[in-house]
Amino acid sequence: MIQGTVKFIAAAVIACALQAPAFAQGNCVELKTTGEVEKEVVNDKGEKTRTLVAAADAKVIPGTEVIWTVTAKNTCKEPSDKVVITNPVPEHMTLVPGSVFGAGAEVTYSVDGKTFAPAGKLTVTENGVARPARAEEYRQIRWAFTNPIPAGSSAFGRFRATLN
Amino acid sequence: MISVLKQMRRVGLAVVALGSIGLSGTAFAQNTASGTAINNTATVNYTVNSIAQTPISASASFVVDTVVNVNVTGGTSVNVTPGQTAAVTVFTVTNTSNITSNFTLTPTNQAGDNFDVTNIAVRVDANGNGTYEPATDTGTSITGLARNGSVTVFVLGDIPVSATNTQTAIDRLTANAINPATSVAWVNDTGVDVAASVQIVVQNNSAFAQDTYTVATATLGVTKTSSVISDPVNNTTNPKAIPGAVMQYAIAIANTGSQAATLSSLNDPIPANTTFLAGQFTGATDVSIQVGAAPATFCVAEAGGTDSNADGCVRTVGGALTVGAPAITSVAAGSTVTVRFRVTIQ
Repeated sequence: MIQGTVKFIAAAVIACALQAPAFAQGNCVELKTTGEVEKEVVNDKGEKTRTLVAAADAKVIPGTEVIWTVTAKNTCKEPSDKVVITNPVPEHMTLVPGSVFGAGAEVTYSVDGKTFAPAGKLTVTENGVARPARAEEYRQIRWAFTNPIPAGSSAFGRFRATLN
Repeated sequence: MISVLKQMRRVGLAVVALGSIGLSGTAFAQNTASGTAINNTATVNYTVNSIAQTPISASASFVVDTVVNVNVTGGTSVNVTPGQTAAVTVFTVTNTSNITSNFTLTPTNQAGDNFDVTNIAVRVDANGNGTYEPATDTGTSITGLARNGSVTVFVLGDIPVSATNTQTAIDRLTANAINPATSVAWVNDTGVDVAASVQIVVQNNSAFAQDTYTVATATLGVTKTSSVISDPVNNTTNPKAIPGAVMQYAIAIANTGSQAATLSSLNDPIPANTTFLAGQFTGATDVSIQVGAAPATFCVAEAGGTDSNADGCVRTVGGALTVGAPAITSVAAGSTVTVRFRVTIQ
């Protein structure tokens, strides 16, 4: 894989010079998305605890919060750099304010899918008047990881959204 | 997933991530339809050795399950009169489920009020105009109400003749959700969710609201008073009721009820041993009519039984004064109408 990449880079530099971005053959990052809901269960001591079950295996009805986790794993021997995960809030769902989490990542949002900005910096125009966008109006979330993901490691972003 | 949980522990954020998450019972204005597939697709862009790599996407999805909810609103009061039949109270039944449902409707009389309506019945507003139309609105249950859909429901009742002003009767409408597929109440799927299949969660299978019938009727009281205007000896200074004296009669009709009373006519025999005195009021009129404290109006009470100027005032052949429309048509709630006329003592 690495060898292939190196060869490819060499070929690109020689043949294409400053042409359009070159892409590696094969993927170095494995991306995985999971949706889960929290469920109250009684453990063997008779205590109520909370556990996560896959949304597909849970009863999800309007008003239910789903925890979405997107994980990027570097499967190559080289570090992956400038890792940016973009995740539109699913259709029929509303982002839960303050629920977005991503260790080591700069999180930005978008209302229109084009302009990304940190929380509180986005505006929407309503009846000709610009006002700060509310968290429920964010339609896209972007995690830009500050540091490269080392070979074999993972990074993840997470948010909660309520089913409309 | 296991790897993600491990990571959460490693970064010490498991508690934060899990805090205050749970099922909410809130009924959302926009109920995503049962069976809708919800897809979440994320995309990652990255570089290796400063070379941009092909973006990669990953998706996860689930299917929205069925939630059953119903809401009934009422809370209004309707004025009724004793003896009224099929008096209408209005309710709204809303299907707050995320699936089409049928509903049974049950009207009941409630305790804690003054009387019960009889022949209590329910009717569904067939054409959605919000007005009860006996020939059109004949349905007694709701069929195929779409998610987020509302329908107006009328509860009808007869008001006993014995009911009196300001008395109330409370009626209740209860709506129960019925599964159109089974024609019985929706049943909770109690087992674990089956992936990619739609399960049923029954939140509120039944709901009710109450309305009030309030009796609003007219309560009339009539008082008649007399005063001496003048006599042939003292004229208007401390006149006495001696033969030849002018007397004024005032008939006060007070409505202490809460609804206007329609007056067909007021009939007052001219007292014995007196003679009706015409032309005593402004413009040579015979009768003064005063509503509350408003300026009086006047009419001419023709002798002989024919109201030739059609002003509502006439004297009958038998010697009674009659005052009716248009001079007086009704007595408003809380108002008093006073009719004055004069006679001479024989």
